[in-house]
Amino acid sequence: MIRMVQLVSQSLQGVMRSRLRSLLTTLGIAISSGALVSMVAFAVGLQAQFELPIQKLGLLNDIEVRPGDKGAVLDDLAVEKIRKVRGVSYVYPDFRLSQLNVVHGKHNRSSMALGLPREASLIQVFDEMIVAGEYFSLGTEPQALVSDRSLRDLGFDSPQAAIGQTLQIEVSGLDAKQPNQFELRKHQTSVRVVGVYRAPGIMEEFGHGALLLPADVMRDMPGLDFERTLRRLRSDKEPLKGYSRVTVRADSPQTAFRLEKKIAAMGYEARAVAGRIKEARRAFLFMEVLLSAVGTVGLVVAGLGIMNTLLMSVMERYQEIGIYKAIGASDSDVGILFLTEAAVLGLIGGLSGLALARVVCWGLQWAIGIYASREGIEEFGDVFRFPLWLLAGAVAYAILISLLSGVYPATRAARVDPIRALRGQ
Amino acid sequence: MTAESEISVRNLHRAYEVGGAQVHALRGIDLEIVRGQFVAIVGVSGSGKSTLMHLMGGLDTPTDGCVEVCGHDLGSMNAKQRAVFRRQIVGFVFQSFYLVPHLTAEGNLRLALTFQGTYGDRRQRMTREALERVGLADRMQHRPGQLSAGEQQRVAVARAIVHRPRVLLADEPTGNLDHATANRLLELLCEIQAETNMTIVMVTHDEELVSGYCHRKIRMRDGCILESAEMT
Repeated sequence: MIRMVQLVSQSLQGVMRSRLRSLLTTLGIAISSGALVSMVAFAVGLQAQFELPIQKLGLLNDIEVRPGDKGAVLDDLAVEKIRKVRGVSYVYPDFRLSQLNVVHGKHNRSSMALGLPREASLIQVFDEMIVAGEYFSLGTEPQALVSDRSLRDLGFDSPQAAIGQTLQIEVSGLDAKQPNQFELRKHQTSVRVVGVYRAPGIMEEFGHGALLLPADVMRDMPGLDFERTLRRLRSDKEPLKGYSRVTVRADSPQTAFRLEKKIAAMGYEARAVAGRIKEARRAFLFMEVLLSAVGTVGLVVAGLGIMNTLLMSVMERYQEIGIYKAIGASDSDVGILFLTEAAVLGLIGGLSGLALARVVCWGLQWAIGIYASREGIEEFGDVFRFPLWLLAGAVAYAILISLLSGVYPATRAARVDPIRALRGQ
Repeated sequence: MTAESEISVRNLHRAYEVGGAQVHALRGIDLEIVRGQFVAIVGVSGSGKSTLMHLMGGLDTPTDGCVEVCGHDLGSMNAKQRAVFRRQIVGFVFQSFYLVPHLTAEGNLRLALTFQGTYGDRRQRMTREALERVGLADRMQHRPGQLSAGEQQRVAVARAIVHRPRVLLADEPTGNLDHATANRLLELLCEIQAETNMTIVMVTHDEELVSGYCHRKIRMRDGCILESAEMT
């Protein structure tokens, strides 16, 4: 058996002998493999856009808990009970208000508000998104985190300028006093800005510049449960007591799955965010497979080009194959020589395809960035991602397709009768 | 096969199918060639001399009969075994040189050694020695197109002997050379044969040219041996 280095060297010489033909053949592989890589890189990029903020904020550890169908009430008592379960870092009711008025001096801004737990400061889970100041402290002081997108509306020149400033919050809403009876309540409070955050990736709620408040500060705000109560009344159901949703933070994603079952056994509807991610990943995987299949069509066509090139090479080098055999090459030596030539074409094409994909995706990313900034989207992550497995896989795939395309020409070369070849028949 | 015999051919037949008809290239050849002999097989075109040489070299398989070279029964070998036989036991020289055109003189010899599984310094040394032996040490980096016909044939001889075979098979090696160059080539083959005790079987139609160099002359016609004569 000829050593691999000798094979590659011999094959490279074979490839270089008809430079233009080899160039065109590898160009075909490069274009098709580049298209394949670009498409999969797009799917991977989308998945990363979706998952990165979730991973950054540790949301894979979260479990969403709702009152169960069997009437289990999700009140403070239940929250306390869940908090004591082993593996729970903290629990907080999910408070959100679609509209409140934030006033700073003569500036005011209508904003959405979200409640977050103060305990999160202990595990620095939200530190990733803080661009100035810090996260809420433990205790009871009314504090707030403002979005970097809302700074200008509130009259702050820079993130640092907002730190320590006091904001007035005005909110009005309907609270269910009794079944079928709502009460309009107004609420005003002052909060001190302790930090400025930047919304990670495509986190929708954060991305709109929501005001983040400690959950305990939001607890007394009116209208927190209005929409859910109204929905139940419309369905002729009694309004639920307690919270509509509670978020449980587990100490790891693995624990989250265990806690999901445990909390469900307590009569609540529990759903680990990681489980939902799994479903999304399945959809992304399907997308990647679909795009790979489309890309493979191009690669197979390029493979036919390789087959054609090698068949022509076998015909042109017919006599040379006879010489190889006369000086001691076996059928398999000759076959392997041509297969290696196919693999070399695949390797060069695959590597060129990667370079091509990087250039094309860089161009597209640049164009998308311009379009996004025109649409007012400032923070735009990488639309295309090139993980190592994709780069290595694409080259390996190009080589595999090339090898398969080389099987027939290599078999024909191996079967050449040396006497007929030497006689030039 | 006797103890001294290097090549033993018994009742050798080779027939081809041409246009539905059987053409008998060899019709029951019997032949013994002892080690260290320079044998010339002469005859007109179509007499079967090249076919006999191809069968001795394991490039072809007999229709019937037996060919034994250096104790190897070629008829019982499969294609892979015959390839191993060609790379270890025999060396070929052809009328049209059959050098690989894109490789240098050195590259052609290296390729032959590569198929034989010889690499590195050893291959380098053997390549240089073979080219020095044929007087082309200074033309190692020249491609066949940059060499004269005589030089190309000497490179082909160097390639045939680079792995030190026991048998050298030459098919009309002087066919494309002028008289003086052909004589020099035959002198070279004789020197190599004397130095290495290699058995040389040379096929030629130029009986006169070869007479002064070979030990034995075998005349063929219509696939049969007409006469076999020792030369003085």
